[in-house]
Amino acid sequence: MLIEVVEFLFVFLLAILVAYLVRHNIFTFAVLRSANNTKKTESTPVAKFEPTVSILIPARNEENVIGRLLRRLTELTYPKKKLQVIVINDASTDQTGKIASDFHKKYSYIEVIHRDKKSGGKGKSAAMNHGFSKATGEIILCFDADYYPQQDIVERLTAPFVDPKVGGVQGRVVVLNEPQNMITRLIALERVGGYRVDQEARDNLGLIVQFGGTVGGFRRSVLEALHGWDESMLSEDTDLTLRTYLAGYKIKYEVTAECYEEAVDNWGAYWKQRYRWAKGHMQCFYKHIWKLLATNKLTFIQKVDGLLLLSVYFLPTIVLFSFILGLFLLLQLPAEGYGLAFIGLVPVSCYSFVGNFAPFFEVGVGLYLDGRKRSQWLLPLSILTFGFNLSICGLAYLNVTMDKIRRKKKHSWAKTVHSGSGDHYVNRLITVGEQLEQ
Amino acid sequence: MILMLELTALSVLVTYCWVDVQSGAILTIFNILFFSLFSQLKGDLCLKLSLLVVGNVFGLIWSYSFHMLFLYARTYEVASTTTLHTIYTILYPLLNAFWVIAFWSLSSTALHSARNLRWVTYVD
Repeated sequence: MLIEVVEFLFVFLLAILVAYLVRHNIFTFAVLRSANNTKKTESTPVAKFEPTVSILIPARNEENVIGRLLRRLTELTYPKKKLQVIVINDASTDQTGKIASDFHKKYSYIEVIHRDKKSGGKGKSAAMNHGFSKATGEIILCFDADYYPQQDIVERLTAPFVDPKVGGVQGRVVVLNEPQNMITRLIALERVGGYRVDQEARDNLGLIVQFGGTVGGFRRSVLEALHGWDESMLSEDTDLTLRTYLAGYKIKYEVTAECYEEAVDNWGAYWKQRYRWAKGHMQCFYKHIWKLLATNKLTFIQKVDGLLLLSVYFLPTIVLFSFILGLFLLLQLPAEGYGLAFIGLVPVSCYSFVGNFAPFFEVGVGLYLDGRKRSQWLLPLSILTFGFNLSICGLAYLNVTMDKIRRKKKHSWAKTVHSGSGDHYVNRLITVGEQLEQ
Repeated sequence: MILMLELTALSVLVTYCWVDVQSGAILTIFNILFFSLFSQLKGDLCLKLSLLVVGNVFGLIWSYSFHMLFLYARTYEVASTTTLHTIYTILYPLLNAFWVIAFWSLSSTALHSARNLRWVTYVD
């Protein structure tokens, strides 16, 4: 009896892995088809649509990077009279508040909200809600302090809002400090898979485009209707994505709106960041799963995609479980059953190499579409991040399950520390940009 | 072209019959991914088919070598049959996936043409 149950579970988990494999194959195929049909994505016309825009920048101890972003925002091509930049200094203990205040003195459209120790430090969502309460723009955009946007990013991000059904928009994230070390290079691969293929495919296929919490934004009226960010969620971006779709709006992905991020450059920081993401995503799964399945605002395909999207951080855990179950079956079944039991390991292994939420072929095609050759050689090394994600997601799963049992609702927010190492690459970027223009 | 497709089919068939079902399955997955995605990439069709054939032949040799290694170890009783079988069945698909990804990377590089240079290419 036990063997039959294990076998059933094993096959069930394998079916989920195969479903993800097929899903990502469809995504990659769709993006390639679309790239072949469109001559040049860069030539996408940016509509002459200039609503008032508020840019929110939550910043807690970001003295290493905040100046770089604010300087860049003063270089944006969007009319400054329609722009409001709000820095939310979230009880920083370093020079973040002073740097932002210095910019405010020079540029009137840059405003600073100083949150004290009592009201601040309660996570990104709380800071965003505070910023939102002071925002006056029709469109609310968000940037993290370590980001470095392209000059016409506001035009590109606001253009999709011409369509009244669009509630939110998401731009593309590119790793700024990619050449720094192996971790940043591997994170860059994940980003290429996620933003060059995955998000674009979802947009092309009319599925659930995910708001990434930064380099994107929402229509003011939609945010008001949704009551802003949910402060109890660790993954406030995924939560907002689901709430937007459940309210009957859609999110557009704008691949040409590129913004550079300073990726974490050591395994400790990677662990912290991903652990928070994994835990937050799992929280969202439990919060939205039934609403997602019951809603009549989404099509069947969108519901399936939403389900797979919400479950994505369970994937490494599923791989781990199916591997353990497979091992059990291997030891229990007679010799002639080996082949049959372990045929399932083929898709598992396929997906495990892929396993960083974007399969190797998806990343490979993303790199191909970006015209990058040498980075392709790093693909087999994704096994390193996969090994890491197995432990992160496994632990996050245990933690979330324990929290559910203990009915714990409050979660501590682990902030990602940015070293400012991206400055070197910004200078390099400017030099190469000038060379390309010539 | 037909010869190349025949060679591909033959490689898969030989792998299923002479090596084992796992190897055949992974070669089938490789072919499905290669067919569905590489067909969409820009490049000479002959080059793509050549890469496909090389991939299949390489996969066959790879699988056959590991299979032989396993049989050798079993014949000369390097470890107990159960232990060997366990190690083989666990490691083998993973090793197979490794060649698929490495071959994919190399093929993609071979097909790559210097085009669509954008800002994001600066790191290369």
